[in-house]
Amino acid sequence: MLTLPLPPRRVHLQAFALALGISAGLALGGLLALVWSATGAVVGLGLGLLAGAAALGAEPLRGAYLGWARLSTLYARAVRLSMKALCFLILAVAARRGGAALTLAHPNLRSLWTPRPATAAGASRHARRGWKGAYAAWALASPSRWWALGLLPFLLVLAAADTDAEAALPSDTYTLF
Amino acid sequence: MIRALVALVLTLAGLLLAAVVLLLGSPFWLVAALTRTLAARLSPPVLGWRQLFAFDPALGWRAKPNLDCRCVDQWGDVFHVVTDQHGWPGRRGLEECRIVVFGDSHAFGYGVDHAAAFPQLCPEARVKAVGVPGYNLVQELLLMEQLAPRLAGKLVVWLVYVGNDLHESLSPEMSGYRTPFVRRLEGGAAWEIVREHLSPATWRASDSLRSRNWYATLAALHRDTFLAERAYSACAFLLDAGARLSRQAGFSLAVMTVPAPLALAGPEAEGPGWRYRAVMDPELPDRRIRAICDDLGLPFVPLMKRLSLADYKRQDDHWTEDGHRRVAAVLAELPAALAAAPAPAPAAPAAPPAAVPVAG
Repeated sequence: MLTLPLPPRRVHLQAFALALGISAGLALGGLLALVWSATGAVVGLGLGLLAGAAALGAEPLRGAYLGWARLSTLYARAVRLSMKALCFLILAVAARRGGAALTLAHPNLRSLWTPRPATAAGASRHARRGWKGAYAAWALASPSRWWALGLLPFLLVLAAADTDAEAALPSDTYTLF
Repeated sequence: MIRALVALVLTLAGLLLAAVVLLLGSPFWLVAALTRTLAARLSPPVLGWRQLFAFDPALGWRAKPNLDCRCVDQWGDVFHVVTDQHGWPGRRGLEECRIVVFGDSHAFGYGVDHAAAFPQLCPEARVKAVGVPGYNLVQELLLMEQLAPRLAGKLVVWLVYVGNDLHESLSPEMSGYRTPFVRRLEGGAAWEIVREHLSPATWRASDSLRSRNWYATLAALHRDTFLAERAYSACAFLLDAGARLSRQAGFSLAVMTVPAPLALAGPEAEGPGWRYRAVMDPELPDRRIRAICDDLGLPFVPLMKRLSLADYKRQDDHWTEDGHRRVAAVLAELPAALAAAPAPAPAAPAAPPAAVPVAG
């Protein structure tokens, strides 16, 4: 999850101040370690933590939090778009190399909806594994699907770029919303 | 061969794009992960605000006794709640106090940490708050009656929150909780307290009648309206009962009004409900209640001039820590101010002690 919880509670604002301090401290520490010495990393991190602690009660913190949340939501949207494009590309290449044509519309213009026979048998087992386990199990079940494992890292990034509102939707239901 | 090459180039381009996107966003990943992790670590276990209360057959509800916990309010803010063995805020006993403040959530200190609520901010004044969120004036009077034998010789301050105490005293329920209320006796000016409907069951009878626009109700209380006439008449009845009780039990009673934040905003203010501000007379509640207090010979302490909009939370009508500090300052100087003021005399001769008429 790369977005911040909305609306923020006081504890989120405090955690955000510390998180910014730690992030800035890590960056500064890394820079100091490169140009100075290893001690610089500790100094940088310490300065960042101090800045974060000093910002705990700052009035503009809420505005900064909301601004950061807006930026991260925009970024999450860009990540989702690019990851979906990438997955689609891999899928198209794999499908073509596997000898399948990518059908975007049924020749008879009927619904492409098909039953999911595997669900009834494996639903409870897959539900216990979560979607990642269920996907990996499906991909490993047949050598012709091993290519699908290559998609998994991108799907993980895609899932991590979900916002809270999207993550609130149930993920393993066989239902049209 | 060419197809495979194109596929390889496309895949590499895709991977490069993914790497750039992820690298650019690394601060977002880091800050979000740290914020969520630290927030989870910093959050103590909390109770929902509804879990603070238990049914009370005489008052409708009261806060649970011996609480020492964190509570999360409707807006997600978390605050520390401490109650004594009776469910009143704080650990200080009634006997060791000089000033006892009766009221609703303002008296309870709802929305701020226990240590930041007004009774803790003026230790020299030895203040005990006796309040529960959602209480109306009827509940506060009944509570005063219950505790009257222990109030002798003390200064009792009755907080009247203009924002909801007045009109909710006329209602048999508060958000579905059954509450004691007052109704007019047939034929006229007299009122009676009703509580025969009290039970733990949710009150559903008013679902369709419950006002969904608090601002309209608030505006009606700040004008000469039918609602205002009923509300201030009921308020006079209840304050009169309180004044009689004080004489009977031997405590001093003062009335302190808490303005609604909308009344403290300028007429040009913007925000939800602010359009009602233009038709409100912000001073009207204090004028009406001061007149009632003058008639009854009760000292009247309006907080209108002591509080500002900044002393209220942005998202609801409870005081901030600054607001509690200001109220503590008023309470700290109140005994001396009352001693210096000329003793108020009731306009009518003192009535004989009388029990509050109670139905049910």
